Amino acid sequence: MVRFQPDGWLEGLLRPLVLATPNKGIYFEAMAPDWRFAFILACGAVLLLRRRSTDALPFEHRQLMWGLVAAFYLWTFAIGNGRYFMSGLVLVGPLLLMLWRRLPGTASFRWMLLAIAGFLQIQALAQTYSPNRWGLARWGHEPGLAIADSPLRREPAVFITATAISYSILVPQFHRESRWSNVAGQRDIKPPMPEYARLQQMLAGPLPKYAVLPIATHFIADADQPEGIARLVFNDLLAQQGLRLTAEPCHVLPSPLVPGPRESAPDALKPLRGFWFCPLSYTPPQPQGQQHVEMPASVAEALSAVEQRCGRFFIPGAGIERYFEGLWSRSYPSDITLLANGEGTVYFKYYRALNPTVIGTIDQIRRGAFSIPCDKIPGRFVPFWQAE
Amino acid sequence: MKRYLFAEALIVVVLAAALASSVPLSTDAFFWSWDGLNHHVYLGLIAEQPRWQLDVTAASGQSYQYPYLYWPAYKLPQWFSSGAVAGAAWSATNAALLTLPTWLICLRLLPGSGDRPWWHGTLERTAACGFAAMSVVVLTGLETTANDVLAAVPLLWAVWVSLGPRSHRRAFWAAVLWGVSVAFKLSNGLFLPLLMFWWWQPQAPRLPWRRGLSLTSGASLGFLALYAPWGWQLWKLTGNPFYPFLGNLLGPG
Repeated sequence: MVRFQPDGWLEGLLRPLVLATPNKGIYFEAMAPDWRFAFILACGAVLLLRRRSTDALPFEHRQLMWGLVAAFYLWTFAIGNGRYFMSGLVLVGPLLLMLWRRLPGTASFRWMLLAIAGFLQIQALAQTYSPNRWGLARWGHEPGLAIADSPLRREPAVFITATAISYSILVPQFHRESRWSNVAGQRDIKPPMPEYARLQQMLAGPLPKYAVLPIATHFIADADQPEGIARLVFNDLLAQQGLRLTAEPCHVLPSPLVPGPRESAPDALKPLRGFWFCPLSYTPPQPQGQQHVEMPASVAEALSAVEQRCGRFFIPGAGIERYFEGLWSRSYPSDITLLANGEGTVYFKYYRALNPTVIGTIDQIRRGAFSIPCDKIPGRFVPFWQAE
Repeated sequence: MKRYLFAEALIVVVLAAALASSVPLSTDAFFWSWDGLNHHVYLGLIAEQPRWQLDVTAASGQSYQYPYLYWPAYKLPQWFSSGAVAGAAWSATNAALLTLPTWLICLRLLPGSGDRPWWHGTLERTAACGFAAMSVVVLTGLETTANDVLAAVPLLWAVWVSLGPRSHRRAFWAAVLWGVSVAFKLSNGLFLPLLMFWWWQPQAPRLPWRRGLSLTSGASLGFLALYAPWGWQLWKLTGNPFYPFLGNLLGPG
């Protein structure tokens, strides 16, 4: 996963300074400026300049300090995700004080420096930290896993989700013999994945089958049913498993477990929040994949050429392929999507970029007449010394 | 431990827990995150009752994550009827578990000295604990059901153990805790350099084989003891105890 990896050695080596930058997507999805690493560097530099070598520190303290420096850079270059460096982010506090204690000057002077450092970091926190930043679904005074009562919850059935959030949080609220699968959205289940055979075996069983769809506010038709376009999209996602929404009406189960308003309000479920449980029919998919639209050879060749040119982001063979309304796309685990439209233009979009970037036409790309800023994909963090 | 140090630890830990719990109490709610809706509660459920015979990646690829640290996330709605109280209890527990080893590490790194008033050390350690928490990532970790904070706790204890008087036995127990933290979250393996540095000694031989053996056996024991119940289930299901990782090596790819 390259999301938080530095683009280049210099950016990686200077990561202790880069962490102070108030940008999103450096080592955390949100803004999380952290001056503490820069303060440690500053303390270390002063101690070196004053020839107060850290050798005077107890051996175990030096072991910890250098061990963390090594772990910091291993983390930076291997993954860079702040959540995976939680212990390091905590330990930097005590280590900072350990070095600060050895700074030259009077005690008052050192405390003043520490107060300035604390003020800067608190200021950075005050401007960027907001409580419940990751909160999507509010649990107030209702039960924590609230969902409307329904016979569906009391009888065993097969429940299929096909959204990026699998909503497996619902599982404990249904019959314990009910069976659940997230077949698409994050990770499409398809041959030869080991899960594919188990899924088909599950679908071929006698239990009734339902698609579980979070109610999309803008796609609600009469009687709170999903609109035709919503049915079309979900049928497209489910087709590769041999599943299809039947003409029967969907069951509507209101629930606050679908992302919605953060504030507490008596009408928090209005507009309608919850899930559609739509009956599914199942026909075992043919081995030839009849329902699958084959990517034209020219498009496949162009996309492969891009993959060969910039394999760090467009990882060959790792893209999840989709076709919808004349648009081909390949989404890679590196948060980037390669797209080819019906007019023969190929472009890409990194998840943090505002707009897609045009690479060229299919013909140009097949001839090799194209370039990609692979060292700094638009939307990636640009450190201050590279900023224009 | 001297009485004032015990009081200091207690005050710092209680203060951290109280501050952490103030967030859900002030918003009068607890919030499920994207990951909470996607896999935290489900993993907590299968930590208690495996569902391999029923479900097929109900939480997508996250269904294979080490589930046991998510058990409290599954239980919270059963234990508490109010989101605010559940959130307060959860954040306070996270904060207390994180702060206690951090304070003990501070005690080792910033001990008081006889030539200064006792409260100097207290002030320094409290400031160090404050700086430890001054991170958006850490503060966010305290309020969600993600396992990042809980998985960091044994690693912090490992650091505390390693800072004590030098002995192979102590190195062994530090390595056990390191291994436990890696079992909890494989990404804690990124702290491998700590283990390497614990091997290094100030006097010859620099890399004593007995210490190396203590560290290796400790880390292996800690990891295997905690990871085995889950790795065994993954191995039975896919033939790969780390599935979906290491597919090229252990299959299925």
